[in-house]
Amino acid sequence: MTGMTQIQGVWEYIRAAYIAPWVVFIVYAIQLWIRNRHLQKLESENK
Amino acid sequence: MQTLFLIAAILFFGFAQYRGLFIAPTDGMMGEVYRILFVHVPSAWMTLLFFFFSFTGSLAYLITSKSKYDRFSYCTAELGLYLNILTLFLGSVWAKPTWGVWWTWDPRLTTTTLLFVMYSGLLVLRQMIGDPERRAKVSASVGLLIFINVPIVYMSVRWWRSIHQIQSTPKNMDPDMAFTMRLSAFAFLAVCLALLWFRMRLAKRESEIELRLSKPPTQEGVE
Repeated sequence: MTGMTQIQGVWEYIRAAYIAPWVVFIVYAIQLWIRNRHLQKLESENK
Repeated sequence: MQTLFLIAAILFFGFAQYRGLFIAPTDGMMGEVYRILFVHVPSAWMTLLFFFFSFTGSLAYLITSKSKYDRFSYCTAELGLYLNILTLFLGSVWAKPTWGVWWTWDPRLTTTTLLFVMYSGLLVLRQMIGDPERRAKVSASVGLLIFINVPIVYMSVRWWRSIHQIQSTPKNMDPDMAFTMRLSAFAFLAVCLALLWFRMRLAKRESEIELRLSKPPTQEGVE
């Protein structure tokens, strides 16, 4: 270190950043599951 | 097979995150906060990559008129939009401890937000057109047009004065950091491709049902 100060107290931000992709993937997967259920319902109604 | 690929991708993603959090060395200047880049940068790359996929799908549809390219185009645009939102969020999480603000109207941030608005518009537009063929043609044309913003997003840090740093290369990165960055990018890609695979299958079924429902009932089918 040459007189520079590292940014402190950042683990909350890092935690949020590492959790966010999981949240997005899970939300997307749930969206796919809901659509799949809707399609199954439509398919059974139109048999 | 699909589920196995998804599970493998998730495990790979978990390992990449573990490496980004605990194995990659601490940055001499920024300390630990730079670890956010191991998720923010690959997320941004995937956003641009999926919008590029969408562009190729649009182009292929306009050339061949095959509906599978239309499905590929909008499925990748949809996934790209999720990644776009993630990138903007992660950028904000990065900006607060390093720049001191959650948001600033910097060229990179502004063009990335425009990207979000444009692709949201494209997906909304699709919902407004009933006829599948017309919908595919219109959205392919709009998809080609709005892709112009993708290279602008990429080059914005070089073309305009920006608080956002310019692209790093493996030459100006520690080899361990560069490796973790690449690993994280491939992990993101693996999960996104697994999700795309599910989405494409669903889209095919949606098209089949739409086609079946749009056909007028035959004489035999009428009670």
